[in-house]
Formats: sequence, C-alpha cells, structure tokens
Amino acid sequence: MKLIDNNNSKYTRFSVKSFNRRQWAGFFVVLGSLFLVILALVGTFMPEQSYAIDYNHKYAAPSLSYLFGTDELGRDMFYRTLKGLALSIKIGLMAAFVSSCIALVLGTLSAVFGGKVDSCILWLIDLCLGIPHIILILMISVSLGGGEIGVTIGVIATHWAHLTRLMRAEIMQLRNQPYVHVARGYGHSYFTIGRKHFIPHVLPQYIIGLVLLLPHAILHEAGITFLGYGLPLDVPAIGIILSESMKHISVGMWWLGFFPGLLLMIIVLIFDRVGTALREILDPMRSQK
Amino acid sequence: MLEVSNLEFSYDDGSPILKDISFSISKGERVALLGPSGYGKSTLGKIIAGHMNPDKGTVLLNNQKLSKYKGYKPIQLIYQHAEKALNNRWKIKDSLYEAWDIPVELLERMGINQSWLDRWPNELSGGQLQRISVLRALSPKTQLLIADEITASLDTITQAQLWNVVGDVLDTNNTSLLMITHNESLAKRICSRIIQIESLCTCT
Repeated sequence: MKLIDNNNSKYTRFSVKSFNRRQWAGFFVVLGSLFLVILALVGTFMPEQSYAIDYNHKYAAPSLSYLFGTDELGRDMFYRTLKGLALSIKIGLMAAFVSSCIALVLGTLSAVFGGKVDSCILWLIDLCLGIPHIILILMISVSLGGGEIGVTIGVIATHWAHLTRLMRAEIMQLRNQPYVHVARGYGHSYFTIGRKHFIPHVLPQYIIGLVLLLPHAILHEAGITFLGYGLPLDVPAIGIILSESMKHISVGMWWLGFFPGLLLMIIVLIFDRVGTALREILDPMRSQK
Repeated sequence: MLEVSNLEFSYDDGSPILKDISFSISKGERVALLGPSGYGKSTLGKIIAGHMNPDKGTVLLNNQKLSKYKGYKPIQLIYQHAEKALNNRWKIKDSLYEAWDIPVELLERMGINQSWLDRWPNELSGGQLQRISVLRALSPKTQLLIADEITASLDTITQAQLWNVVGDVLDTNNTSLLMITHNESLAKRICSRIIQIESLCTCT
C-alpha cells in the first residue's frame, strides 16, 4: 500500500512539474512575441523628430532625459536604437519568411522527385554552405546595389540551406512510410498526399526552423551594414549605429555602442528563446517533457 | 488475371532476394504464399502491389501494368502492422474514408464500433486497427487483395472472425486473394492453392 502511495505522489509531482514547464514555454512565447511586435510597431511608427538633429545637446551622456545619451549630431540614441531594431526585425522577418518558404519548396521537391532534382538541390545547398555566409551576403548585397533590397535578398539567398536539408530529410523519411504507399494505392496524387500527409507532419519543424532563422537573419543584416555594404548611412540601422560608435569609443563615449549593442543582443536572445520554447511546445519528441 | 513473370529484385547490398519468379492467379482464386521468414514474401507482395519497383520482370493485371489504372488501384496490399499503415496524426474516420466510401453495413459486419471513428489510432488496439486497415482495402474495385500476415498478431478468435468477414466480401465481389503467411493450417483453411516460396525462388 505504501509502495502505491509513493508511486502516486511521484507521478503527480512529475506531471505537475512537466505541465508547468510547458506552460512556462507557452508563456515565454507569448511574452517574447508581444515584446518584439510592440518594439517593431513603435520603431516603425515613430515620428522622425524624436531622433532629429539637435546641436544644443551633442555628446550628452546617458541621463533621465536621454536614456542612451546622444551622438555627435545631438540625436537621441534611445530612439535611434529603437528605430534601428525595428528595421532589423522587419528585414529579419521578411528574409526569414521567404527563406523558409524556399526551404520548404526545395526540400519537398528534392525528397519527392529524387534523382537528378535531388542532386541538383543538394549541389545548391553545398554551394551555399561552402562559402561563409557573410561573404556571400556581402557579394549579393553589393551586386544588387546595397540598400534594404540588397541586404534582404542577400540574407534570403543564404539562409535557406540548413532548413532545406532538414525538410528534405523529414519528407524522405515520410515518403517511405507504409501509409503513404497505401494512400498512393487509393489513387491520391502526390499533391494531395503532400498537402494532407506531409505538410501537417513537417509544419512544427518548419515553424521552429523559421523562428530560429530570425536571429541569424538579424545578426547578418546588422553585420553587413556594420561593414558598410548594407543599408545606406542616413538610415538609423543598428549596424550603422555600431559602426559610427567605433569612431568615438576611443574618446570615452561608450554609450554610443554599448546600449545599441546590448539591445541587439537581447533581441536576438529573445528570438532564440522563443524558438526554443516553441520547439518544446510543438516538437512531439519533446512535448511530453 | 494476375501474371507475374521473371521477377527479379535485390536490396542495396546486391544479394538477390527474388530471382526469376513467375506465377499467375486467376479471377476469384485464393492463393497462399507460404515460406519461412527472410525469403522475400513481403517484398514480393509490395512489388505486386506497386509499392516497390522490381529490378527486372513484369507484373500484369488483365494484361495491363498497375500504373495504367487511375484512381483506386485494383491491387490492394494490407500490411502486417496496421499502426504503420495508418497516419497516427489522423482520426480513424479520416483514415477510413481516405480509401473509399465504406457503407455503414460493412463497418458493422467488420465489428467496427461507431464510437471508434472519432478516436486516434493510438487509442485503439492492434486488432481494432487491423480491422480498419483491412476494411480500407475491401472496396468492390479491388480485384486482388494481398494480405501480408494480417492476422499474425491477433488471437485465434479474432483471427477467425476477421477472415470470415474478409472471405464473405471476397466472395461477393469475386476478388482474388494472395495471402502471405507462415501459418500453414490457416493457409489451408482459407486458400485453394498454396505456393511455397522456395519452389519459386531458385536462389539460396
């Protein structure tokens, strides 16, 4: 009798713990997404006056009226950083979304058709992964004339490869499942089978992959802009802010680089945590934990 | 009706599993394919049903390749493990009606309870799932049913019940049966002709 009681209490404790963990992951996804959405909206709809040039307040150190200080033109760094991050999130979202769509389509084609199509797509993946991302984005961005479009296309063109591999492997494994053969035997087309059997199965991996692509895309966008091959100088992008701060860091104006860099890191970490929490919720291998 | 000629098949390691296999099944005939494990019985079943392609040789149904038939294929294969033949993310009713419009009367005869339809595959037992899997293949359009050890994991009573219903439906539709099994007494009870896989296979 004692043994059964022990087992019971053990079981209850374990299930409550796991329920909390899952709930916690869900809570984090909602909170993190909300924070990012608000940040993106605030940054997008911010009036230009809030970070306008003001020669009366040049090189102000962080204070209550200027949270992140001001730069050599007297622009409020807090609002510039928010604007820059919103731009980064926007570009990152667009690039990650298009990139993951490419991955879904190419991965599915590769797995379903096999043979020459498969070899061709694998060759493209190797080509893409063989060159360091930053160099490939740099070349694409420069050849497209830089700017928002150049950077976005550069990031899109380099970030599909890993997810394509994952999708290909998932669908290849699905393709040989007996229930897929059986469904073929009932006369369903590959299109129908793809829609009804494959896509619902790979959707969790796809969403997780999409969210985990975002921090990469954002960092690469900032990196390429920092190097001077991305967004134009007049745009308050996070990469531009960081590269400008380099000029002043030696004279002790630490706030110009510190706060924008810190915030960029926090945003990237939030995206990463949201992705990991989503995996905890959606991935059937982990959702029992 | 079914004509299998000079079939050859080997897995990736190159050793031939099936070599020079030829046999035929006529309309309404019930044939058992008997033999020890590892002799390629299931592989042969999958090739005939079109789930795998042979290296050489042809499978013809009424002098036509199976791929020429559009829609619900006239050769249906039932797997030994029903849980693998059903998508575990689909409810039972979705899996059932993915195959064909199964009349309620047939569901009842197979002993499928209406309340199962709204459940998930992992909520039913192996025998219950097998009944569903069998029913999916029993359309009037089926001309040849390949049953790959379908009752191997069931108890004797359930096995007998299942074969009774299957036998009735096969008679009604005049469907042929290729039964893959290692259970000789069951094969003798159900089938009119027994093929030993060793006698077909010239290898090993």
